[in-house]
Amino acid sequence: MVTLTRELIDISLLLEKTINADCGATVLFLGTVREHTNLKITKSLTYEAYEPMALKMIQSICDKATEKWNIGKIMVIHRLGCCKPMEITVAVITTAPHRAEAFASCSWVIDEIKKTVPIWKEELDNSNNSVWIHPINP
Amino acid sequence: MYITILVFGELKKRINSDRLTISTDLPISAVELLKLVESLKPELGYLLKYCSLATNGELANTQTLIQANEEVALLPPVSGG
Repeated sequence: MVTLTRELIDISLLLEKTINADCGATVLFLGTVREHTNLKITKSLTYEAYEPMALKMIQSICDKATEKWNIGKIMVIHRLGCCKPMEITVAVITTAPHRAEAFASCSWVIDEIKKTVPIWKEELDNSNNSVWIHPINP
Repeated sequence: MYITILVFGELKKRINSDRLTISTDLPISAVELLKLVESLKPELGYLLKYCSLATNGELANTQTLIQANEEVALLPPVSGG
C-alpha cells in the first residue's frame, strides 16, 4: 500500500495492517523532522509532491522490491504539507519470513524513494528563512 | 500553440506560480523545450540545468517528443524522505 497524506502518521495502525502470520520479521523505517543540524534550528519541513507521478513511482519501487526479495507485505506512507520537529515524514514497512530480507528491502526502498521520487521539502529555520532543498550532484 | 508546464519547489518560488505557459510549435523535443524555457525564464537560473522533464507522469529523455494535450512537468532535484 502506498499513500501520500497530509495527516499525522499513526505507526500502530500501520503495524496492525502489515504484521502477518506468514512473516517472522517486520522492519519499520521512520523519517522524522530533525530539529538540530549543527548550529541550525529547523522549525518545520513542508513537503510537496507531483502526486500522481510520486504515487506511481513509489508503487513501482515496491513492486521491484517484491521481485528482488522474498518479502510479504510492504507499505509506504509519506507526509505532505507542514511537518514539525519529531513528526514522522515518511514510514516504510516491510515484512518477510526472515529478518535479512526485511532489513535489506526496507533499506533499499527508502533509498530509492529519496533518490528518485518527485517529492520536495522546504525547510523553515528559527530565523524564519525558508529554503527549498534540492540536492545537486555536480 | 501554448504549452503549460507544472513546476515545483524552488522553481515555483522563482516564478511565483505553480505553472508556466509558453508558446511553441508542437511537437517539440524535451531538450528543445528546456532550451526554450531557459531563454524565456532566466529567473529559473542554474537550477534548470539540474531539472528533469516528465510527460504524462513519466520521465522524459532528451529526445522525447512532447505533443499537444500532454501533461508536462519540470522536476527539480528531489528531496523527499
